[in-house]
Amino acid sequence: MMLSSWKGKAHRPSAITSGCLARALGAAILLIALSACGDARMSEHAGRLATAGIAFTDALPALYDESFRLAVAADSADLIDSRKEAPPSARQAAIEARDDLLKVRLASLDDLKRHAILLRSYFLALSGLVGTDDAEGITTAAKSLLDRMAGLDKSLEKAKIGDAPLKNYVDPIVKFGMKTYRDAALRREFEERGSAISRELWLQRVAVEWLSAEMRKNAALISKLDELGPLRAAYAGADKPDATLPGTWREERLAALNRKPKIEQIASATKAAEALYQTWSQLIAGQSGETNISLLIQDVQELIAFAQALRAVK
Amino acid sequence: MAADQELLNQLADELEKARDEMREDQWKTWMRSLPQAEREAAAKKRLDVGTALLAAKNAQLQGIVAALQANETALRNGISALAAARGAAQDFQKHLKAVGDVLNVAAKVFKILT
Repeated sequence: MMLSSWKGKAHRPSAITSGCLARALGAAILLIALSACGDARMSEHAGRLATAGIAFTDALPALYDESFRLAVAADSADLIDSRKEAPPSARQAAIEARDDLLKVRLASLDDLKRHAILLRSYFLALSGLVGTDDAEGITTAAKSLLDRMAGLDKSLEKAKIGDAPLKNYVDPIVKFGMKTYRDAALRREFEERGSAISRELWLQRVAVEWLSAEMRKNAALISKLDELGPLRAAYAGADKPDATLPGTWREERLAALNRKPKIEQIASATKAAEALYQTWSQLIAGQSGETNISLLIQDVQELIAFAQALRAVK
Repeated sequence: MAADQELLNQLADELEKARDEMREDQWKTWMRSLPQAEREAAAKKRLDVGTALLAAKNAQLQGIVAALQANETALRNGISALAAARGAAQDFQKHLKAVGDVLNVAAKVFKILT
């Protein structure tokens, strides 16, 4: 880049100030432009992944709560179905043991909730680093700095780099500078902890997959034993063939068959966890793509809708 | 550890299979055909299988939770490092403002001198 059109004052101190600043800015443009080439959009993708990560971790507690509700409901249905013929002592031992085991289950789910808060904090810190507020603040500060330097030497206001005024370069230089700083900080983070966070997200996927499978099984069991079972038995009239059906039978059957939120939507949780893991792995390998991020956001939005539906049922 | 996990998964699968069989009408009909003592023993066994399955599932989940908790140090270090990097950016911003303030004073002094 060529520097031209310097029309400084005659006195030496301000001429040195102007020349130094112009040369420094010119060198900064070149260096920053070169350093920024290798990491185009890395911080932007990291920011969007962090936003998706925060939304993902926000949705997890509703999933954990629903998994516990289904586990207890399924166990209750199983206990009722197993009750017949069992001696009282066996029933007593079973109910006590299962209550204790469900308390243990609840403690594990609480641990998962606490861990989700920690993971959310990580994504929040990542989002804070790549957020735009600081860049804008620094740009304002740099412009203010240039204005004050122009007060020191009026010729700075007229100074040009190429055909454009020097002032026009301040904003892009500062933004590029900030981006370079952030990219360096991100690269360092990815190098130091990229694989540990990959493992974390892989384990989150394992946890969500396990819970989803359990929730499906428990929902199926409840549907069979707890809701549809008595309705079918009432219709079949095994005990009292001539008995009339309860007045609410039609509505209860419809509710049992149309239970909301539909458990099939649990697939959104597994998809979101998988997408988060894959997108992170690609990001730290320098392979981030717009498609991956867009799919991740779509999957997380589906999970949020499912979590909101779960909360609404309560 | 992986072998233990594999055994645990097999155990959970077997228990689940047994529990599901005991839910079937065929099993219930067979149980009811037994003499009372055997019938009670079969019913107790069904309850025990359900309890053992719940315990096996808990152990599976606890294994996942323990693995996640083992990763918490890395997460905490990451949060600190990212916060420090952000803090450095904010310091840079303050530094620019401070330099601007110094230059502002210098400009006034320079104006007086010239």
